[in-house]
Amino acid sequence: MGIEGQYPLLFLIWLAPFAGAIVIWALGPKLKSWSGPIGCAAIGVSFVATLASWADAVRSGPAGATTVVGAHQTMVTWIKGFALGLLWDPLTLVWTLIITGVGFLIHFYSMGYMHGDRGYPRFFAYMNFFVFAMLTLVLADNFVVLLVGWGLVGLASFFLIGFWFERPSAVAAATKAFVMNVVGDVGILFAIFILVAVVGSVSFADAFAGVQAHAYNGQLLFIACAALFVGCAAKSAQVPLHSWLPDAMEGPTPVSALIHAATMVTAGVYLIARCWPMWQGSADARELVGVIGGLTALLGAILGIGQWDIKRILAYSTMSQIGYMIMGVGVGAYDGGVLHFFTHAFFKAQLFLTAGIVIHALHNEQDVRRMGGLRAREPFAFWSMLVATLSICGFPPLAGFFSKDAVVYETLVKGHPVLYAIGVLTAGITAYYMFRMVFITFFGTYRGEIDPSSLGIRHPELAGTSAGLLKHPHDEAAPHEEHAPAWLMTAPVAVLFVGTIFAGFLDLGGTNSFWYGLLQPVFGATIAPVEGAAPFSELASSALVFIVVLAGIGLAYLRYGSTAALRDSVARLRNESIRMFPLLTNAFYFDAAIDALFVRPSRAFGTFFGVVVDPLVIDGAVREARVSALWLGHLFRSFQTGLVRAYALTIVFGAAAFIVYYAVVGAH
Amino acid sequence: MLAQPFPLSDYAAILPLTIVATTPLMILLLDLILPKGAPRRDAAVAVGIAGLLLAAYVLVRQYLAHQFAPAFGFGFILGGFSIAFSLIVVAAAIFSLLMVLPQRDDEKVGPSCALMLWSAAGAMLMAGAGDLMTIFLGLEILSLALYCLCGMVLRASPVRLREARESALKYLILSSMASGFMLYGMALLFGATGSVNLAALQAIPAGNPVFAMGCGLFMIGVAFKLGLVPFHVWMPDVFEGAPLPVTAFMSVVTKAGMLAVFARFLYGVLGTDHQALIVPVWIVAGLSMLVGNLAALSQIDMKRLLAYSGIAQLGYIVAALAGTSTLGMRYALFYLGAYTFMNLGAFAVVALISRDQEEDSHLSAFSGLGTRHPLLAAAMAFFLLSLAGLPPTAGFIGKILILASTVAAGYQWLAWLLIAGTAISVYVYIKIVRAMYVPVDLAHIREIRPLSYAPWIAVAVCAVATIALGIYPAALHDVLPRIR
Amino acid sequence: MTPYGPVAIYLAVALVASLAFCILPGLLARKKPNPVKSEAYECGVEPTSDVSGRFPVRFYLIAMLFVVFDVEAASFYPWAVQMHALKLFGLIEMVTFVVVLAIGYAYVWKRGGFQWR
Repeated sequence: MGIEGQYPLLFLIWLAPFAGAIVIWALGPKLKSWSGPIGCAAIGVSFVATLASWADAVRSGPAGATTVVGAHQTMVTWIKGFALGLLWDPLTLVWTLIITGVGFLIHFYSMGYMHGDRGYPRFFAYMNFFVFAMLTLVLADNFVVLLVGWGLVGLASFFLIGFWFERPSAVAAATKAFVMNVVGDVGILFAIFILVAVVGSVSFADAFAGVQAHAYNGQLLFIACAALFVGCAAKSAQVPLHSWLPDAMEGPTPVSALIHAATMVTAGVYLIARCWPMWQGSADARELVGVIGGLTALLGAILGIGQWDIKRILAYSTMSQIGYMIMGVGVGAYDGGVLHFFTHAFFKAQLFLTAGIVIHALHNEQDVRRMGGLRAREPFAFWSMLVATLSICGFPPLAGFFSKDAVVYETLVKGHPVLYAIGVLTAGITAYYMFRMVFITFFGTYRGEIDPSSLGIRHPELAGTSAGLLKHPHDEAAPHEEHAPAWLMTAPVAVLFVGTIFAGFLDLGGTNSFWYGLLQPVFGATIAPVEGAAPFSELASSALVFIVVLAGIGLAYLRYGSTAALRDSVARLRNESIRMFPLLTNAFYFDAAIDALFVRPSRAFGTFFGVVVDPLVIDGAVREARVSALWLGHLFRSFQTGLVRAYALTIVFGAAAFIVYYAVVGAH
Repeated sequence: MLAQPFPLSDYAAILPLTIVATTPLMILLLDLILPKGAPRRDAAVAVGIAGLLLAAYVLVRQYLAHQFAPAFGFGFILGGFSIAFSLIVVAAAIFSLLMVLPQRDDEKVGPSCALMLWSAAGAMLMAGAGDLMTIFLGLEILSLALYCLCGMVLRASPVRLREARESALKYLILSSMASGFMLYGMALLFGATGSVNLAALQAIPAGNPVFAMGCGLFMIGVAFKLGLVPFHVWMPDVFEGAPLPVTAFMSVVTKAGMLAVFARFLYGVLGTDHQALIVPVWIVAGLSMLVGNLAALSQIDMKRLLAYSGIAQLGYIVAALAGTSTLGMRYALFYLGAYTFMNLGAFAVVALISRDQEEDSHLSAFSGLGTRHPLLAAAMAFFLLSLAGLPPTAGFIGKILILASTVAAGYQWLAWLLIAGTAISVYVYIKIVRAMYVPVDLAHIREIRPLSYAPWIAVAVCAVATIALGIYPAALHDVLPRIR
Repeated sequence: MTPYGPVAIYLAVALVASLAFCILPGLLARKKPNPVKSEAYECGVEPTSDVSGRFPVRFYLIAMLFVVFDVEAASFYPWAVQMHALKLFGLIEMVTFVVVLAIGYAYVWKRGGFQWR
């Protein structure tokens, strides 16, 4: 795997954010407002080191290795036969560029956004810690370190979602994300156990070599892939483990931009792309991932239609876009999936950061119904939002156009016409709900002064995320006159424009493109273009998608953007709020279904075992309250010596089984 | 015939044992001599720990000097094997003694410490036992002290007192029963071979029915002490009822002692020729992994939960021995070491946060611990993650090693049971981690100030060891191969 | 048949016979219970409490202490008989034994184990 050697720069990339986190955590109260710049500097160092080590990542290694490109650094021999190390190849490079590059911009932005918050140093400590955890995840050359990173990003996410822990809804959202992510961690843990049982190693290289050596019997490879995918689904908010992502918007907006849009939620995409040889070995696993990805893309887009909270709209769109990526890597279009991650990181970060500017300007209002007409008031936000929206819709020649079309067309090439149809349809719905948001937010007149009930906003005080009514703690601490300079927040967004517009050009030129040249050594022949595999050309497909997207935009214009619609926008929004399909407002009842299918049965199961296996014992007084309702409790409570007898009986039964066995064995 | 007195080197071999057995006498004398006002509790614990540390020093010296030899006519076999198990017993005893201090009762601390040390001496005797008589002698020394310890609660509510006495009585009755089975098995083994020496038992050809039945009854005793399903029934009650330091002590020391006996019997007597005679033990180990974790799901008392989790953990350790491979022995020892640290670490945290008189170990005591005591909560989280087998902890690498050895030995079904058991256990442990970190209204939680900060030492040492073994297991693992 | 065959047959017969004697009366006997028949004694005073009453725990304490010293005495006799053969080694061992016992004795005494309270 790559060229073995000493690469101190890798440690710099990896540990600079960790050092930042430690310094800010330890000295936070003393650093005060200096913790922001220190946090930025730590990520900046990491980014510069990433650029400096670029050449190592693309250097070709000896022929015949599983991965023929990149660098490899052994950290420690964990135990005989288990070496842990860092891996630095083009795939890691792509992710590291985004994590540190976009991460730096978001840190910079946070200096403005979090200005004056009581938890300002704590915020940067957590954010730096997150970057460190995410780098651990992508730099690992084995499943163990990957799982450690996987768990740590979950932990960082938990802390940052619950950052404003005074809000009960934030705590509930953090807990939910935590629980669902643990499910995913356990999935990966199992995959590791299976790999150890099969190939006796935890390193990527050995696991993939095992595929080529046909070490996996029967369905074992599929089971291992499925176990890994449970982790991917939980982390990347795929159906049915997606419902934590919209709730995670309880965290501060920069958190949503960095963790729940650009980086952490794409860890699933990374893992599948990293483990592509395993997926190449199992058609069933590819099918599973492709279908789940397609379903998530569609479902996220549909749910995006019914949202009123600007961040929840973006959350569902994130879920939908990650669905695209997962679908891409699932069907085997690894380069397309990774490209969509790359471009998505730019335009989604821009969307979130712009939404943050809007939310900030309106004093923490997040409900789009109480916005409107912001085009004149916030021109920068408007243009930024418009460009990023066009990019996410796949409007040529913006970045999203290249990546999304690559994924969608590849599904057809790899022989999945149904997924292709879903991809095209989802593109149209995406255009519709994204422009719905743009029209409602930026066109017409400002509706912030109108009585909420006339807009159809029911129970504004109960709405979990209408944070405008629940003041952020930092408003109490910091009066508005000491607002941070506006350029702290606009400058990073301005930089993101570059990526949002131009990132797609990397893929221009087929097999001669920069992107193909970068990733070809990783994925080899699997991503080579196949002639004549699809019924029509890529250009025709792009045209089709473009038409569908235009239709979506047109529909959104008719309903929300046309002069007629804008004239009576208040009444229209009110009608829509009231008549919204219950299915949409309840997000297809996924939470209720999970509760009914898993939470309640497991609770019942636990109680059942508590009664049957654990023969309710020691003195009644201790557990009387819990037990008295159960007949078994009544049965056992009255005689304690009887219990010892019951125990003795159990032991005698066990002993009898032993004796019978040994008698039979002895007789032979 | 009058036997010649044994040579002095034989006495040198049991020197650590002698130290651990005589230290309690000093504790008792000290308890008598010290006047009322003196810090008698601290003195008792300090002397106990000093004695154990001295024993540990001698053990390490013996190991480094390679003074491996049978003593007392193969009654006691000094070797890497006995030294490793003895060190684990000594470490566990030290951690448990540290947990005694938060309890406030001058009258009972001295005897408590003394009994714990005697019990540990019994376990150390089992670790080196080379014949059936020594095994039984060690087992009884270990158990007799524990019967008393289980009932020795300190000044407490009547409910708590009754609980403890009930626990002691249950343990006495059920344990005597298991001892009976074991003794009967030993009698049959003696009948089949005419010798109590383990080395002599090895010579028996396969297929002797008396020998087989003797093995069977012997294994019942083993399974009882290890707490393998269905011989585990005594554990939850006794663990919940006994005072916390005693529970912690039992959770490692009884297991380590009996595991040593089992391993020596397995490797020294049965070897690879008598695989059929050991299959039931693998089956009960597999059952333990499942049932232990399933039953732990619904527990609301920390001691009881750890009792069930201990049942499952012992199932993992026994599974490592499946196939009787050299590697398996090494991995079982590694996991036993890891288990000692993570389990006693968790107990030490419970000792720090439980209410002084009630010794309340209800799960609700953990809610909000993450905000009240961030360091303590972090340590506890590490112990629980380690018990669940998540990286980067000792429990994770331990499970990986056990998986590797069971699969290599051809016991795939045990590997799958281990994976299934782990799945359930993650839920059990994460439940507690979640309770610690979900923010709560601190106004509703009574602040508990531990009476002594001694368990902190145990927490710190265990936490460092749990993480260090997870990140750099080679430190311990590479020492193990020299053990024989 | 193995040498242990007859033993197995013997065990089986014993088990069947004893079970049969336990179960058969219940199945075959005619039952005509009346209150007088179910009384504990045909004559004398009605029992007022459970037979398995409680003893004060001190009885046990004293009994246990007695056993300890009884055992001590029991091990003195053989030593006394063989004292010359065992030489110094035997003496040291006996002294160790007595010292250990003495510490326990002193502890029990000081803690009030001999007081009848």
